[in-house]
Amino acid sequence: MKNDFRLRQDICKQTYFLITAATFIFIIGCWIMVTTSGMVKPMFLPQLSSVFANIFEGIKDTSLCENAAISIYRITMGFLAAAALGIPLGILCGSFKKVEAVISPLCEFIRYMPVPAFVPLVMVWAGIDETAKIIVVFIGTFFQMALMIADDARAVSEDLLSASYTLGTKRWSTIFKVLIPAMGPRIMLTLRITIGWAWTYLVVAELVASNSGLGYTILRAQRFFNTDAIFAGILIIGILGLITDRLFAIAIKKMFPWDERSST
Amino acid sequence: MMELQSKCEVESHTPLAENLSRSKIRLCNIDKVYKTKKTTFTAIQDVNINIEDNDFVCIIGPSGCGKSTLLHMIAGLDFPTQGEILINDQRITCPGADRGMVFQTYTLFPWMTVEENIKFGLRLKKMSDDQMNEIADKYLQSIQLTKFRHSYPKELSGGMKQRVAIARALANQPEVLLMDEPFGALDQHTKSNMQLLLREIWQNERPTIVFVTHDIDEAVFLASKIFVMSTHPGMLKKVVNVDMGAKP
Repeated sequence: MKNDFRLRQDICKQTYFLITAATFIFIIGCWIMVTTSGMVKPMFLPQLSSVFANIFEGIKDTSLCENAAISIYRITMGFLAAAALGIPLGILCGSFKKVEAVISPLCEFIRYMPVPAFVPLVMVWAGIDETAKIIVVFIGTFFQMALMIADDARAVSEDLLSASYTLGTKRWSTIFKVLIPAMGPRIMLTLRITIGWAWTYLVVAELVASNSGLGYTILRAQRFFNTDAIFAGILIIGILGLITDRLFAIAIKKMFPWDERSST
Repeated sequence: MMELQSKCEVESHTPLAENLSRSKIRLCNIDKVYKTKKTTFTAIQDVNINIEDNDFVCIIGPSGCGKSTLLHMIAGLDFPTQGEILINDQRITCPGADRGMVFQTYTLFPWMTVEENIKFGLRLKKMSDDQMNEIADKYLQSIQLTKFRHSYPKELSGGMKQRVAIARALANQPEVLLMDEPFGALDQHTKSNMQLLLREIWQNERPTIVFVTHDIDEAVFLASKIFVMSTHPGMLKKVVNVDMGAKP
């Protein structure tokens, strides 16, 4: 037991899982306790059972599934667009100083601008249909992603590129045959982190300008003080986020069995 | 240094004009100056080196004498402020497959197996599969890692990684093999084994090797010719021909 608290000491998988499970059970237990005992009014914190009832109701009348589907669609499109542009641009930015001089200061500047403030503007530019929400997700993730990918490109060791040159690669073959494969795990890690932010910006878009999606359900519930529905929306988003994160983790492990950090 | 003196015959600095036709690589009046706004720092001053075919040349000197920079210049990864570097009487302007290099850090491509690493340069030359396999087999055997051909670099020890790096560079059949303190990160035991292996390879195939180190014993053990450099600024102090017959 004492040894378990040595710095970075590994513990067995089962223990790890048990501790995680216990944490969740403890939090849920506290929730049930304070709500059933009447210590906290349902208006502030709803009964767990009524949250679940709300979720099941949503599944039964398919409204929840529809809203989740439209949210997933928006986030996927916005995130794919950000990745399709952000990854190549980031790689160029991390490889060539002249590209960096164009892209990097611009991204640094824009990424500090508040995304929610863009929402009304985006509505003016792109209307109130799906494109608008996709653009908000894009704005929220693209600029950060491009900068992070550029950092990933710079993190590839100089000697690795030098070794490639002395084996006969030229500028572009070095980028495609060595730089990009070497960056692979880091690119996926960056995507894994930025997709988490994409969820935040999606909800921002849906809270302001939407009549569908999980963000919108939360907003509507708020108008009628349906705290159980608010919690249901938040929980669903949390679970969807957790699922995407796990999928990324599995994909990373499967895609890069050679990576030093992944276990064999 | 005493040991070096007694074992080796010392000769004076070779004049530039001598043996021009036999030189594989010539460094002519190399200067390297780093300029900042306020100061200029001369890292390398007026270095002349002739390297002949099949030589095993060691460049030794204290850290900061610019020996590693010289090697990077031969590779075409760095450039002199003054002077020029010729290989087969052609000026070096960029890196190329004719100058293979082994680095002190581990530079195997981690996403490729040992075998694929060795074949990397051959693939760039669009060599046929049969030919590639033949060459890969040969070098896997000479570095005694045939069993590990399908392993990823992360499964290898430091010494094994450097062996593969040497094989990868040699498989490409470069005109010259440049080695930048390749055994610097290895423990003494592995280092000795690697030195034996390298000398064996050199005696069998006679590639031209330029080897940079700060370890005098290593230089004396390996080299047929040693260039000794001094620091601040980095200058050539002495050229030592090692009598190969005296080696065990």
